[in-house]
Amino acid sequence: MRIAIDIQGMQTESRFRGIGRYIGSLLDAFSEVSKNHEVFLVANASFPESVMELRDRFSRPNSNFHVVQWHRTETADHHTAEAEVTSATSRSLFLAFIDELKPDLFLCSSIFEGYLNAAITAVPKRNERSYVYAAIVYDLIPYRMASVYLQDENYAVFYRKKLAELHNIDLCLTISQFSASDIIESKIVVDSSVANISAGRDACFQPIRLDENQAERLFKKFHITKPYLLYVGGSDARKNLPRLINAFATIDSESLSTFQLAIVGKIPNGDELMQIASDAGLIEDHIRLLSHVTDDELAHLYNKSRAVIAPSLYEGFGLTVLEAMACGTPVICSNTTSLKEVVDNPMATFDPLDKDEMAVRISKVLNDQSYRAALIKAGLESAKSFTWKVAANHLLEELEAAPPLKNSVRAIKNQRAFKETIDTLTTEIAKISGVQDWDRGKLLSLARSIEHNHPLSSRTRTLFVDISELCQRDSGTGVQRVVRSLLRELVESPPQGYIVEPVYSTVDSEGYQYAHQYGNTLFGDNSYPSSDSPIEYESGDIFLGLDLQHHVIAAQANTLKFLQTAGVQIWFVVYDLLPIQFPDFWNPQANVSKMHQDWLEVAASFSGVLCISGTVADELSQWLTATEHPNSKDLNIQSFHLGSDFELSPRTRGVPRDAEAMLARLRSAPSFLMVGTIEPRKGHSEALDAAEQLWKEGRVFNLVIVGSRGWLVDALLERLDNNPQLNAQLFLLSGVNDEYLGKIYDHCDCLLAASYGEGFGLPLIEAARRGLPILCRDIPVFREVAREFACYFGSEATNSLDVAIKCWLEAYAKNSHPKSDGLPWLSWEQSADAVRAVLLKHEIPRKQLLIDISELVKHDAKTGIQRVVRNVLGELLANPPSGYKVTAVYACSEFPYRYATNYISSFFQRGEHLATDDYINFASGDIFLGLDLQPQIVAQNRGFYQKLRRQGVKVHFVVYDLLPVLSPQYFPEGSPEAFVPWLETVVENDSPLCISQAVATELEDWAIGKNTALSESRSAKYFSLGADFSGGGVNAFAEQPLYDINKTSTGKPRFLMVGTLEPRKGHVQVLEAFDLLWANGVDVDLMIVGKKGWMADSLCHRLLDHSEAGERLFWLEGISDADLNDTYGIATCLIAASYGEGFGLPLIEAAQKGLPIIARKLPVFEEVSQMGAYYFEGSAPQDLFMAITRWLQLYHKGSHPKSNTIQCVSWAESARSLLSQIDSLPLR
Amino acid sequence: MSLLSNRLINWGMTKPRLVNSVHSLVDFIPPLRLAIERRVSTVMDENNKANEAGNSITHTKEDSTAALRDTTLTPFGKRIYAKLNAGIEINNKGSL
Repeated sequence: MRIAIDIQGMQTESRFRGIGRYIGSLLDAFSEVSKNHEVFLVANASFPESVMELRDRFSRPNSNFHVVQWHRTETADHHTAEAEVTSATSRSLFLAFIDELKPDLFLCSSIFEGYLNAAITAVPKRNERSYVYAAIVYDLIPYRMASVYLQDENYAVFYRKKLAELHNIDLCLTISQFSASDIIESKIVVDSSVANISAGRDACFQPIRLDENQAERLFKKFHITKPYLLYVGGSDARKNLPRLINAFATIDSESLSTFQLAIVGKIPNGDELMQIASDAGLIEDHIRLLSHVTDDELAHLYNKSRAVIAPSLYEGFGLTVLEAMACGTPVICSNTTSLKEVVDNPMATFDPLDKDEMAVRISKVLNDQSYRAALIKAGLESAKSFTWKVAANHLLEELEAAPPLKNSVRAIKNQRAFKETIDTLTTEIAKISGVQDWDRGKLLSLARSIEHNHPLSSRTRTLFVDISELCQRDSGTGVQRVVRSLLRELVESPPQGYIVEPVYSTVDSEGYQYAHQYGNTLFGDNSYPSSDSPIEYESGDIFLGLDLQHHVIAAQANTLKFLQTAGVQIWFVVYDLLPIQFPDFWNPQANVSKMHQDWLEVAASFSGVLCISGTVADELSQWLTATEHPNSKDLNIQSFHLGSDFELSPRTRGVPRDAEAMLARLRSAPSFLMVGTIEPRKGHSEALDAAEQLWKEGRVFNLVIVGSRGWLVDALLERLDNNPQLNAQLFLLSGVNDEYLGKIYDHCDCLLAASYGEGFGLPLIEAARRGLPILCRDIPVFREVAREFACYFGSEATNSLDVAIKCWLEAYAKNSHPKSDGLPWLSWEQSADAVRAVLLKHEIPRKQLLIDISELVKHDAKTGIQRVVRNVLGELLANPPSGYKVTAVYACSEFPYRYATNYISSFFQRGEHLATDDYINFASGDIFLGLDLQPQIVAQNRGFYQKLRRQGVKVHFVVYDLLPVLSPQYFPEGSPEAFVPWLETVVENDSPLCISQAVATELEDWAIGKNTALSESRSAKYFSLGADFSGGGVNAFAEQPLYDINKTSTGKPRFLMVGTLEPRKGHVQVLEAFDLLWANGVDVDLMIVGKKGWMADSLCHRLLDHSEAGERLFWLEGISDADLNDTYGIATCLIAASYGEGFGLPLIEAAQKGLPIIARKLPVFEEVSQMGAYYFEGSAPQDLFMAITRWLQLYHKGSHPKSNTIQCVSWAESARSLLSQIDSLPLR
Repeated sequence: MSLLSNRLINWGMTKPRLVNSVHSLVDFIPPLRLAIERRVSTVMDENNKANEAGNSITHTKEDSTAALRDTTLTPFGKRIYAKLNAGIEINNKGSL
């Protein structure tokens, strides 16, 4: 069962009150007992701060709970006409949102929400919804005590309106038996079951032993100086506080001097109460008002209190009484409403209107030890029966037992297209009085709310099934039999997430129409509209060309291309290629071969084709290759088998008069049956030749040909008509009805299938179903269908037909012929299952993996990070995670993000270009991956990412390093300050994805330092970067090399540095070390690859003006990835002298080339290179000079550390590693 | 890339590659650069003030302001907006 639960009671002010706590605790327990049901918790987006709390609380991995949020229209000032309009439109939005969830049952957990706030509750009439409506009604306090609680006229109107709506609910749930009886008695619900699901208590309310220090701290905090009688609750009239204070004032003086009265709760009228106390003779020391306490503090207060009192005149349940009893505290309470039910002990109750009786009870409970002991014991026992698990089980039982709603108008509507939901909603809203006066801004906001509530990705998609031929004329051909059977199956059991709409077109019409009229005829239930109308489609829909209508497809080719451009997948069923393979078997004037070829060319130019056998799929594939069809490599070719469970019982009845005589003659000798239209392809001539040959040899058997006259068979028919064996051993039967054909099958001994080509082979299956043995031509499709359950003839390896018949007859005589009984065949349901599976497997995924590449789109600076971004993006686009569509996005000024459609088009050099990129849409289940590094933009969009998360989108950022904050000295002034807001944004979203374990550790430490420690569910993850140069898009932006690298091929040891020229990279130390090397006569080259970065003016001048520049010192600035690849190839050793890195991509790239490495001893370099690098320490030129000198000695001896021990991953593996760290993605 | 270039691109006023070429040129003509940045700064201030006052961008005419807001809808959002408008129009005609 699918259950939707409105949880606005956990979002409004109610979340701070008992109702909010009740719903939360009940749902926590319900999530444990309702695993067999799908539960949607419906939150209101107007309370954004609560939405993430609710998601964190209920949307756990593998939970059956899903938190979804709906958007209302903007609110207006209360009690104005405009507020009425916004409320009415929001009501429509809310109900449409619930409708679209398609619940079996809707539970409103707090029906009276929405007064003076943005919550909306609504109960549609029974005939306007398709789900059972249940509501929890906690009490009828305002109804029963109207003079007190409905004094505010506006609230009275609101409350009475809500009460009236309760007439329409189907199941009323209460929290006590008293409330249930009260509701039944009040008759506020009609035709509704009323059931008590009760309530529970939170685990913190239990007997607790506080040590002296804890108790002292507690008392000190709340200024409690004596043992106390505790009251917990509000101070509104029904709570009866004045009478409690007066009763307390009349207890004996000794008790009064020994005990205090502690009142816990929101007490807005505290002064008034203190005045009452004063009037009753109490002094300030007698009473303590405790405004706000936490649950834990409350549990402690219960535990340390002398007793708890609940003098209320009316309660729906009495949670505080239960909590106190569970803490092992004596409780006394009113003998009215639900309290006596909860406390379940007459000894503990008193008349709340009788001050004196109350005072007696108070004295007794404060002083009488045996009475107290009895109350404690009874209270603990009573409390045991009230647990949230018990309440949740009651709730589950009641929801499961609720009778389903009978079909209603909306129930039928819910089966219709998503488009109708939007149409109905917009039409309904447009009719609301006052909406006409809304300005453009309000309407745009409304449109956005509708879009958020009904994202395209969650809509029911449409599978359009083209039945153009069938709905125009049903001529009963084999193809039409297939079309009708498959259509029926698909309509009755659509692929999950789709509705199926039969459609048609004609040669001269524009586009396709819904075949409503034909649908009504076929299904005979008038469930379709009475007239046909043009189809409406959205991206993600599927068009299946099921019928075979050559001319229509040719005429509609452009329409189909347009549909495809709009994101509709176009599939065709291909029955065969016979007119192309055997053009001579068709009348040349009919031009069938050309027509079929043209049709196939169009059909093969879209998304995919479904062939009715593997043989046809193979033949099509070969034909596409042979004809060099432009789509031959991209076309998705799939196959399925047709169903065969046609009704075997005859549809047309009656047998000719001479039938018995005929059937007797068939029985007189072995009879071979040929069934099918008489046309050249079917091989009748060859069969006749073989039969005549065998008859001449004296063989006795019958050849029975059943079929109507086809084309190009004049000579054959003449030969048959004039055959001397006609009606002796040769029988030619036409116009045979079903009943007679059945009898003929039963009286024959073997099906002879001599066809030269078929798309499938239905006659073989029909014969097998009747137990008739099969002798068929050895063609691939018959082998595919009949396998070892038939006897074959006609291939090079097997006999000619006359020999085959002879052999078969001999085997038949010995009963050793192949039996057809075991031949497997499918029902139409199974056949349709295969079609559904193919279409669903290849459907456009609904969920999006949005990859932020904002910096790359703006400017490809060819930094290391951008190399990562390009390569990972390329891999993800090529191999998207299962069920996700990978789309690149970028930040823009007027709305946070657009799809990077144009950039991706350039990325793949497709040449397509849109005028503008569209703004992104997003929905629950999507993932946003901040792959690119754009600190400022990300920090600016901080709010937007939270908006995404509230909508149910997971937001992850890739963290390359924390260097600007950890090593600010290497960055321009202001960089660290700009970097911190970015980091803050990163850690407030879902798990950050770091490029090394070292970075993940640094990030966790940084977050702890900032008091924003990442929770376990959002802890920093890490993945490995790739290093191969064959990754997608690496060379997409290659530029001309700025320097001829061959000039460096001098034969000397060549040291290479790769990285932007900036202080952190250690270029200065390296350059000065090389100065020492050169000064000491060491003949080595130094190649520096990297663009000029920041704080590098002096370094660049030194490089350019160096005496060795162009001789032994080479600066290769801004070379392409391809040239970098070559540079690695000619180098002798990589020097990684950086003072800090997030990963160390050059180390991996060098390792992949087998290039030895000298690296600074940094944790991250050791993590990446382990034993595969020669490490050095110290920042003085001399330190590195010594290290290089030592390394050269080792190198010449061949004993330097080898980098081939470093584990390298490809970019494909890197992308997979990244995805594996995203929890919300399915495991790969 | 300069702040100016970033702003130009962010506003969708030009393409990154074009900006790259132009801004190199502009960088070498200080008076031109100063003049452009001054203008940009003025417009940004106006916009900030307008945004703070709850309005949209003020340096464009009212109609084009509305058009700009309209474009922030996704294509699907625009279709919904059109349906709402069409529905209201039909109802208005009906009430006449």
